[in-house]
Amino acid sequence: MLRDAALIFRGELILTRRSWAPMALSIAQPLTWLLLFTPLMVGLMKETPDSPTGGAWMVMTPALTIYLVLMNSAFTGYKLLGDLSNGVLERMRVTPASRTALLLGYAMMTVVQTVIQSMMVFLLAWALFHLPITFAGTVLTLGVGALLTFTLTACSITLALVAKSEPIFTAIISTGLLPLTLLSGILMPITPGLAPQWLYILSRCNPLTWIADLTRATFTGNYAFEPVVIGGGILLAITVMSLWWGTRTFNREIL
Amino acid sequence: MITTHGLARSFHVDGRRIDAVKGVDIDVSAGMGVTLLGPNGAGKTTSFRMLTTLLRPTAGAATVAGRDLLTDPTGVRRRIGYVAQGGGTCGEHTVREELETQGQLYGLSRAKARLRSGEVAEQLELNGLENRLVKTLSGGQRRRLDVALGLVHSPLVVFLDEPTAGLDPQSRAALWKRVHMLRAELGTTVFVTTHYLEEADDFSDQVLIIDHGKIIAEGTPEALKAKVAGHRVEVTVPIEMVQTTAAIAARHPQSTRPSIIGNTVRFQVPMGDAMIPHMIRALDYANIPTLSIQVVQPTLDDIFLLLTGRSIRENPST
Repeated sequence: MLRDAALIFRGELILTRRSWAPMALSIAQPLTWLLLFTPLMVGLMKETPDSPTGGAWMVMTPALTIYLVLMNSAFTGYKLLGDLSNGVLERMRVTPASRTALLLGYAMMTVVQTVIQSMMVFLLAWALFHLPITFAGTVLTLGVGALLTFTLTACSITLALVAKSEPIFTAIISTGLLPLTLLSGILMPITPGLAPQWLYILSRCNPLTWIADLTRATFTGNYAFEPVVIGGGILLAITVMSLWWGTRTFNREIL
Repeated sequence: MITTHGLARSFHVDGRRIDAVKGVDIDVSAGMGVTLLGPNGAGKTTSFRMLTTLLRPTAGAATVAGRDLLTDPTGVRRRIGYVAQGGGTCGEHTVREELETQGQLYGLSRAKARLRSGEVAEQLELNGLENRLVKTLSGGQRRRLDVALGLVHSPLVVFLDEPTAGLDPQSRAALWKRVHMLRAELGTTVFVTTHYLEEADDFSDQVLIIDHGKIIAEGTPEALKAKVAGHRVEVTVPIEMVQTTAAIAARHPQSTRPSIIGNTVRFQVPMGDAMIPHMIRALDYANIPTLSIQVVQPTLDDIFLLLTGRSIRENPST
């Protein structure tokens, strides 16, 4: 299974190497947030009751990983829609390659992309703003980011396969992505002191909020029970669920 | 190599049930070249997609390449090749990359996949194009690549869905030549769908005619044509002797439907070749100088016309 996934990943890697410009450009967005938005947060967080510890840069930098994860994985479904219409997916589905391998192969490229981009953001933040980044913190945060990318990419691909049409898929992604992003508090942490209670509760219902907290915890080396154990638990649970959903959908016939 | 019993598939579209394939029984022996012939919407592609594990049959059973279609789809996939109507290549990959990856997905080692890629590229006249991006290939080259991808793992059976649709006559001829050679060299069972009647006629050991989701006739092209329509014999004689000739033809116990067009007498017989010596002797005896005598083979379309009252060509496949 891993061999098949690696073969599909290799194919995707070749494609990325042939047209690397989109990938290079996609790094610009998180950098823009980091450079143009974080300075605002610095001032804002001073006024905000019970803001997360560690200062704006330490709050924002790891959260950008989640932002990258969301952007990269949400749009992987388009790649699948392309392969669906040009027949490549059907060709693969007639091979004995396992259905999980197909899913893994597609997701791996997005994982690699997200990890590389996150690393660049971390390095830049460290070089420019002297963030106290630890090696363990970086590796752990990247690990969380990788696992989450895998999960959300699997969801995006599966959703594309269920939607089967670009307009429907676009509608789902564009409707879902923004509230999911805002409610996760990755750009502006949603705290009980800052947000109305209903919004706070809503954001706690979003698994991404817990995972954003998890990345902040791993990044700063603050291994408290709530973000690490609960956040980690939620991450593992949604990973298993997305893998199950994806494999099940890939196994079913596609008309 | 392929056996099906009552294979059926229905779809639900807008709350309506559409029976695309209604109980198909197929028996294809190893090494044969078989054509599924029928108009657009007859159930050709649905049948193919069931036999290649892409669609689950709603009823019936099938064994493909010695493996049960329903209980061991992976076993079936390992042993077959499938070339879809629209192909399935990625324009940004090179020919070599596509072939090697495909081989490896079928479990070939890297070295073996490379070896086989070279072989099929050679067999399908793609040598020299290995490093080209797929998007730069011509229509004919791209179609040959599709076929090569279906053969790279040396399958026992290869399914070709409309392999020559949209190609110019030269590319069509070249592709068939290659498919013929592969069958002869490797003994691969080749199952194709086509709506080009001449191609079906030339290529097939066995033709299955499908209409409205059911097989309505099957056999070798010759037997099929003989069984359903027999042969048409056309005798051309000097114009003043045409009536006498028609009378002689009508006397033969096996001749039917005689007609006269100009100075040619036409009639149907079950076996035209066997009729010719009789006819020549009878005309000689009557002192009629025969200008020409020929057996006209009915086309596969004649059979379809006879069975359904429609022509396959009325509904050209898209």
